[in-house]
Amino acid sequence: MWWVRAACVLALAGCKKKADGDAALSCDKGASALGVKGGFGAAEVNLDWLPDRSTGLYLSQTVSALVSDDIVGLGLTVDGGTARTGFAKVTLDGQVLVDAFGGKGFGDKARTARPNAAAADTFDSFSGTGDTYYGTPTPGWGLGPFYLYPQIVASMVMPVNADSRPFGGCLTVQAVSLDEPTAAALHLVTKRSKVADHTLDVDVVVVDGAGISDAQLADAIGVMKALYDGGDALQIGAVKTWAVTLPDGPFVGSSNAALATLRGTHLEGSNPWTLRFYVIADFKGEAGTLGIAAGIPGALGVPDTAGSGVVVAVDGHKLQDGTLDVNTLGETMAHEAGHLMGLFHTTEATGDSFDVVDDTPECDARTHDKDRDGAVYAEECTDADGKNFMFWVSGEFRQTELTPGQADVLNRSPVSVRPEED
Amino acid sequence: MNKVVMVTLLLAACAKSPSEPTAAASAAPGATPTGTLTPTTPAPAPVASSDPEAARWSKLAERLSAHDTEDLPDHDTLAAFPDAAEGLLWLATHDDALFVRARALDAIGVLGAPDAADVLAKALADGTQASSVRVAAVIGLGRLKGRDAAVTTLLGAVEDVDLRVAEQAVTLLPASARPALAAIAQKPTLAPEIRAKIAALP
Repeated sequence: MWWVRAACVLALAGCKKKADGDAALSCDKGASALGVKGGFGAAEVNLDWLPDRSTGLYLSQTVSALVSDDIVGLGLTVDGGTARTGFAKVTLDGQVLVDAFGGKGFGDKARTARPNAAAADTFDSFSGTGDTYYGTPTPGWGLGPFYLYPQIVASMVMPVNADSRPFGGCLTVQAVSLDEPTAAALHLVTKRSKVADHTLDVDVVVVDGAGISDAQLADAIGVMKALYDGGDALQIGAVKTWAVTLPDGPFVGSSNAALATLRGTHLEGSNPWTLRFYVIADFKGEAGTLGIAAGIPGALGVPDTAGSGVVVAVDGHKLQDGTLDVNTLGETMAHEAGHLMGLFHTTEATGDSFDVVDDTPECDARTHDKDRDGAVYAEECTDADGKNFMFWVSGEFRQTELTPGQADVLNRSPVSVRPEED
Repeated sequence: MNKVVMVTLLLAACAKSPSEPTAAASAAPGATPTGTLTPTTPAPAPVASSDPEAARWSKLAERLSAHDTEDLPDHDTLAAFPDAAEGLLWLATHDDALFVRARALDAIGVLGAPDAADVLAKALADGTQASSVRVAAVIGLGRLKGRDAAVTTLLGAVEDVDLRVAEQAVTLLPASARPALAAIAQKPTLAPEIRAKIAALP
């Protein structure tokens, strides 16, 4: 009964979910700003869908919220009952950040190279379903700096680079679904504190023991902590461990459904601003998968959704003698958490597409692919970004570098701060 | 529609929880807290050996060391490596990292050389390989699109004592192997878990 819910929105302003500040989300005069001054804040809004007969899509109402001038980080997540959800249009203070219907992506200074271009260029090519979406390619999706495409849970974060830092003004968000929605909520999370206040609390959910001890976990997280410390990025705060039992034990399928169930694990009493790792023994049906982030970015500050958290596998980090390589496990956790918080690979495999962070060196294939084999490797890129832990591939050395620009993205992440009163 | 009904419907719609779970989320389990951890500093990783044969295949090994699986090489990329099949086999049996061994076996299936089924069958039969690596051999066999030799090995793997191997084999057998699979399911020696997996096939 989409019309009922649409009518609800049109007729009753009271349908709007209230923000932390006890005021309805809006940009009306006198409205409270989104979030909470001094720390982490979260709000959510019911989405109501209207079918667009001309495109076959379902569009939500446009949600408006006032963003205060002290905003440091902003995360948006559309969590719904459809497998293909995205952002139709997002504006801030009149600037178009995302426009899936033909507008350009936000950030004129963003580099033109496109991470994951082959996958993200159009939804058609990404899904492999053969569906077409409002013509292809779809400007505004698959373009920098956000590189968005429809997902089971669609997320975006600001900033992903210096040009996409959030600022004060009226935020408007309209979501789109390519399938008939069954439910949906828009989550808005904010960091309104000093950038220097950057503590990342962590929840580690261990699935059926996963073949890892607490001591090994502490070592792996110690490696991740050292990587972030070395880059003047996040300070690892409270690390809580959790245990969960699944019907198939510690081996989890890599399908969307299996991962959605795992990521939907409810942690009673957990805080929404924590970054969550799920530690499993191995992925079913995949060979040697080390870890999977829910997205670039994932659902930040929104736990228990199909787009939340990082899954890491223990077996892939073992050596032939049976020992666990905690150093590599820690690097995987840092790398995948970087993806979850909005960092792309600094250089992609082919050496012709790069991240959108201004100060990350680029390992350009034209100058670094010395053996002309079509890929740039860590060893070929040691004078560029080969030692950066967001490089696409590991090498024969530890990748410990992080640039100030990357650190700034992490330190502004809405999950890098606790609520002020905490 | 009268006004009362209309208002009732509107209020019901407004009351809908914004966090209404998806089907997957509704089946999600709950976790129990087990404590807190203090990050520690592990011992430095050991220095890699300087085996000259390892040096020969180092570029191939690095190509298999992508952080994310979507960056692993496809058939054409693998085929561009000189002696790729030989290198993949060496890595599958000599690399210290299990994920490289596993990815090498998977890649042997992706490359699909004429002797790939035999190579993967030997890897599957190698008792020195870890469970996750033997599972990867099964995945590689599954990539061979129903070659007779691959199907024969997969059918044998259904009775493997390692239930991970057996379960993976069940899921990768082509439809043409269903009669043989049904016959295996009748064997009293078959693990009940695997019999259940076979029964649950669509």
